[in-house]
Amino acid sequence: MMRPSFLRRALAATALAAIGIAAIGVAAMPAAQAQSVLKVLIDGNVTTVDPVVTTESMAIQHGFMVYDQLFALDAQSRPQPQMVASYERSADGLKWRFVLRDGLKFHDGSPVEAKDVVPSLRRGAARKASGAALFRHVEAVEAIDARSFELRLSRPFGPVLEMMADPLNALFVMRAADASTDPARPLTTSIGSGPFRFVQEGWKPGDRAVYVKNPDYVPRAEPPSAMAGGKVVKVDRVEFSHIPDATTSAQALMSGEVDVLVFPQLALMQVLERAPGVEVQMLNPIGEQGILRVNHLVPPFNNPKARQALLYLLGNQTDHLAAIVRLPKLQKPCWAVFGCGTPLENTAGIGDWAKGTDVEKAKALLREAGYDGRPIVIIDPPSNDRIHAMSLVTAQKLRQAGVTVDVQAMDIGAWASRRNERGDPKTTPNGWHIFHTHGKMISQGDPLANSAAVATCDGKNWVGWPCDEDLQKQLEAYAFVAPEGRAAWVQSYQARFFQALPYVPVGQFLLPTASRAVVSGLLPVQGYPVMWNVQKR
Amino acid sequence: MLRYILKRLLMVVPVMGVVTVVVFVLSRVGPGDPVTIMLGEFATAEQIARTRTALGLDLPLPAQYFAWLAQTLQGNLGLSLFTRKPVLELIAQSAAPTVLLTLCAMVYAVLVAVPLGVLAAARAGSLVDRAVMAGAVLGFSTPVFVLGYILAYVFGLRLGLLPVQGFPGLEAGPVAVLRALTLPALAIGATFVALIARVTRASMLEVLNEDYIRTARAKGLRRPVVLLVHALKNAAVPVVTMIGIGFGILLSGVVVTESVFAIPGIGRLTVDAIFRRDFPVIQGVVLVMSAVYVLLNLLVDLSYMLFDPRIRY
Repeated sequence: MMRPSFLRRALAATALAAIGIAAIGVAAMPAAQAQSVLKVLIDGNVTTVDPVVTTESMAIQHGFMVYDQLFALDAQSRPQPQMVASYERSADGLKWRFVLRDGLKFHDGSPVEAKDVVPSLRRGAARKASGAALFRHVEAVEAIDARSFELRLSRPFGPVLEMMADPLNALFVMRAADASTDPARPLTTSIGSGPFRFVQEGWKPGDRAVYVKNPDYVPRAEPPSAMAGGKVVKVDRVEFSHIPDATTSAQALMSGEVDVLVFPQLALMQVLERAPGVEVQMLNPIGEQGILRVNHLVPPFNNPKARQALLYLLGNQTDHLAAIVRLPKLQKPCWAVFGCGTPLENTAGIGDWAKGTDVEKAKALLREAGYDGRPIVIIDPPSNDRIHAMSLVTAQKLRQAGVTVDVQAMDIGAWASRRNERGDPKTTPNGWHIFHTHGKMISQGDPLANSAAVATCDGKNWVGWPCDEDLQKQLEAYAFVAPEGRAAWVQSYQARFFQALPYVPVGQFLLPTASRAVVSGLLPVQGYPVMWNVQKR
Repeated sequence: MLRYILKRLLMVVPVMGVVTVVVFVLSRVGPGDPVTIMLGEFATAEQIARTRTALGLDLPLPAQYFAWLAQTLQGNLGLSLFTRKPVLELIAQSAAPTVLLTLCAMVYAVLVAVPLGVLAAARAGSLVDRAVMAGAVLGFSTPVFVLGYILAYVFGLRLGLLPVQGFPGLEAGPVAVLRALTLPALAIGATFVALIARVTRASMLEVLNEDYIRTARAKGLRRPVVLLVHALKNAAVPVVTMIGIGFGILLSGVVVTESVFAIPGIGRLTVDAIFRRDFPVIQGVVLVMSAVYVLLNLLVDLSYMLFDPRIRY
């Protein structure tokens, strides 16, 4: 038997050891920071600093910190000059001449000149939908002098400025040397002329990307309006990081360890709304569009009737939207192809399916399409809660219509690759029939940037490979439609869209941004939140 | 002993050779393509093909393997496909948080578990013993993320004492680093407290029935001396084995803890690389961690000599 004194000592030592590490850790609180540092949780890690080579949202957010655009969209989605001081368009609309603002400088001190702009436009156009749409009609782009450049078109392409101002497919201006790099090869340094400088040595992929205020940046005189206007930086330093765990992200914001959570998990919204010191804002009033994409090359969805059956299963979209965002205030049922709350919103071609789910009608259309009972493969990445929710609801609705469904779960990497498989799942092991995704409405609502709408019959369009020559001809015609003719254009286009159905819109949903109450000045934008104008008290 | 060490080190060579083939094949045969992920949602087949060529991913697999092996033999693990940073630099950057977290967790586990194990063995069958063993079952059965959330809620949100996430970097100083690692170390250490306490108890019980312990008691030695000097030293071999294995498991298995507490360590580097199919990073991390695991096993084997004089190499 041990003596009680030894027992006491042993227990005391155990307790002390347990408390020891915690006690050391608690010993001191962090020193007050002299600088104004804004800590922002974005929706992924900044793994590439080249915003041209990828369409990843993190690279785009990085791009808007470091680089600048020639034009930028204001709160009314109108393109406004940003790096450009003035521009003129020839009477026939074929020649555009632009003059850069005075005093623009790259972060290495070199001036921004027209010789930098020309290759930047070319590089951007090689990778970005908007730039590509513009450059299909560009005969030449040339530097005239240090501050002027000229764009010569083969046809009077209408939305030149809109393409230059696109916030998701931004044509950022880089140094000529960087802009001359093959657009298939990611840049490893990031020297722009934007309002923040990228701290290369502070970039720890998987941890954080660091930006400091660019003291040489000369903001425009106009007040900020979405992506346009004066980009006045009001903090010394911004740190982008990412926490993969949604609960930890919310806890980090609630405990004040981070200042802004760009896209909190929607399941945690009510917790954040009730948390003291936290504010939830709807920065993007039009949000995102859910997309149901089928493989147009394989039965049954190579038959338009089978695709139309999906319309009757989705009905008024509320089941899908409720699964994606739960809170009714974040749901925006909308069958308009180019979105609701956008300039092209309209009701042409929207049939009786929009009233509500009609399983019997869907069954009849599937029968007419010759559906033979084969299992319909839905590929689903559960790690993306929005896509996962849409996948499960679609699967359930298909089952209600008597369809055999095979939901195949996989990680996001496998899902992204798997979508490139064209073969019939009946004979090809990696084949698929349906996947879901979602895109920002600002891009989905633009006929020239909406990749899902492209229905070329060359098999080179986006996965799913819809083919409809008439629809595609109409889509391409949009670039030459005068602004006053766009309402008529979209009526005709949308009517045809619902017959051909390159994709099924699943409605719109809003993604709020959460921040500490000490943070103010987050600008309403239709793309990703921007960090200029943001203040931290 | 030197001969033994050299022999063991030589055995590492074929092991690592097999590891290179296995990790290369496994990372490539699975579904998923880094270029599709890199180029994003709406990339066309033509853009994907161009980028694959630019990154050398269109070469035949054997050519890619031998090119990677050749540069690895020169100490170069290649560049990340995404960040274009050297893989060795990424591993070095991620190693500090993981190694420190592992050390903190293991120090905490040993300091708590060994006394508890000794105590439970010394009071076998008593209420103390049952309480320790019940605690061990609880510690072992509680998933690390559940404990992590509870600790973060209590110490981070409610009491505001410790950060709930992140690693400030070594440049922030030891206090800030310890503050950041306290909760994750407590969360991940709980399992090892349970394991080591159970192993210590079992090993001590075996030793306490040996004749030399009875002799030591008969000589009139004080109970603590018998327990801590005579019994514990002889019971240490399985405990040290457990600690050594634990280090290996922790170093390569802190994925969940690093995710819950947003610590940019090896675990997160690996998971991110797997999700993105960043082949050079996956291959580099597995290779380095395999080497570390093999070396840790060697160190554990060598340490047996300290506790049991009968063991000689």
